[in-house]
Amino acid sequence: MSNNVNIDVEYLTRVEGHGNIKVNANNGNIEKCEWQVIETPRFFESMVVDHSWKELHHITSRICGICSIGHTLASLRATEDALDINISHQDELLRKLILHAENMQSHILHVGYLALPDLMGTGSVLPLASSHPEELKTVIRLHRLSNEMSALIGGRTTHPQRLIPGGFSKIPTEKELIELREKLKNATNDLTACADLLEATADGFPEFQRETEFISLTSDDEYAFYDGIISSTDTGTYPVSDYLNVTNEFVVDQSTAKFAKNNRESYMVGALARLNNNYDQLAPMAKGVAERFNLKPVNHNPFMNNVAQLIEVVHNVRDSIKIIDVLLGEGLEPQDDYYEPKVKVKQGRGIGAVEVPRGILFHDYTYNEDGTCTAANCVIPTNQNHANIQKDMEKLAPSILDKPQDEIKLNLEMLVRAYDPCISCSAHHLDVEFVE
Amino acid sequence: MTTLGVIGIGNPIRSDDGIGIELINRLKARQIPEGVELLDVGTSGMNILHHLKNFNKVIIIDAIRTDGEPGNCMFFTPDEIDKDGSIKTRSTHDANLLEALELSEMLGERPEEVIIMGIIPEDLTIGEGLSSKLKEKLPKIEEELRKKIEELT
Repeated sequence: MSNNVNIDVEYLTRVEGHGNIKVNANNGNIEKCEWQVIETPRFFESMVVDHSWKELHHITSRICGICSIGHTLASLRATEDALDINISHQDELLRKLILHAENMQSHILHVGYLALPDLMGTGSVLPLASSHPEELKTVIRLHRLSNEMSALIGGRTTHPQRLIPGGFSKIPTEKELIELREKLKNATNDLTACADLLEATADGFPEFQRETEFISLTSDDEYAFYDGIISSTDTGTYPVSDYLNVTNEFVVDQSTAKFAKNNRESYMVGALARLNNNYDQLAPMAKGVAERFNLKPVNHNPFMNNVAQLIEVVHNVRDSIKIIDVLLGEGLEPQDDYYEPKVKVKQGRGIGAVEVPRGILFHDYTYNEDGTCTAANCVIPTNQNHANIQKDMEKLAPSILDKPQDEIKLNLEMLVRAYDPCISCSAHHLDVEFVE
Repeated sequence: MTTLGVIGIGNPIRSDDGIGIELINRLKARQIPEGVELLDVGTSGMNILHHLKNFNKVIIIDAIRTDGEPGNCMFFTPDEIDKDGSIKTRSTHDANLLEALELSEMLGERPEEVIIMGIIPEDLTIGEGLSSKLKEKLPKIEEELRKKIEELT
């Protein structure tokens, strides 16, 4: 063996935020293999302290531009748990609907704009506009539909305004829900086209297996996103209140983000984890897509997370239609705009756990008797995945050392992208250099 | 019918990164010409694609890192940006603004006129509210934006 490899990817592209891949091999021996997270810590937990229970979900929604709805919901659920606020069955259904919208929005963005260029060998989504215009338009139509759905229920596409502790400040009309249902039904062809496209290119995913633990929410009633208890493919279920004993965050030298572990050295969260835990509860059409890819639980190939995301999009669309049917069947209870639920403020601690596109998300708040936050903890999906990415990389890198260096690099990048990591979505400024 | 979209990008809990959002909020409290729609799109880069198709003209407001005094603002078109420069490689988000604009063009949805209003930040650390420098210059920045809106309507 005379494999000398030096992979040094600084600022991996087509992921959210900043991460590096460093692999060195000398004579076929790996000397260094690291997934490095180099984001500045964000201190959200300190930022919400001293703020009122009415404000926390607006602040934490700004943690992320992709998962702003998920952060809002985890935040509201933590506040509602702490202050013993109940929400109506109708509001719960509307929240499940907007969570489906966000999951679709994020997964379509990832599979269509960020992962597909790897499979098509184009390096960016832009060349697809000329090489595969119809396929790209399909992706954009689905993305647009999920955006419209988020705006209809949340008041705008990102950072929703209408979701408040105790319910909604404004709800959609029956007419709007009927129109949305129609659009969702019409999306079936686009979903099939996307599945065709991914199936035609899926042999671009490396063959790779590494046994690991998968953690997600689970529920007796449905494929869990909004509500449930913690479930592990290794160790069974836990109440949400046990989340610290499951996530066990720890600090490593190579990363400014924390890593996490439960039963093994690492675990995985996200679409593949949910699918591995809750496969039987997928909508029939989504299960049909899973069968096309031969994806069955428990699947240990992290690259299949891309496929699991597409399967979930199908589930999101089908289950949204079902939810709207229930809402319309029960008749929408009217509500004044600018509605403010009556809340009796009290001292307490509450935990909210919600499945967001990249995995299970926990918010944990403590309030004093005035309803002012005194302590907060947020455990974010991507942090839970970092250790698993590292362990995957340690297994994948030695097995592909005989490939050309460019291909090794691409495979390692694809591995990280498969997790759809959201390393930091908290700043958005343009770096501008003008044409001289 | 709305013809001019004024779109703020940014994160109000990254100090001056929230300048675009702050300006949108200020304009919402004032009288604006008919046919102008104000949008806070937060930090989701690719979502802007779906808003672009609704307008004939847009002004996109964002914090920019370039040479100059904090609080200075400039209006420019996407063509004036060096596309091989850092803008393409250092985006912190899913897809950067230029990619969304390019895609919009390829789909035949790009507004006739796209103006970027860039404001140089002083402070991008985690925290609520603008830096004192930007706060001080805010009335002037807002005035420049209002003038540009009038020019375009």
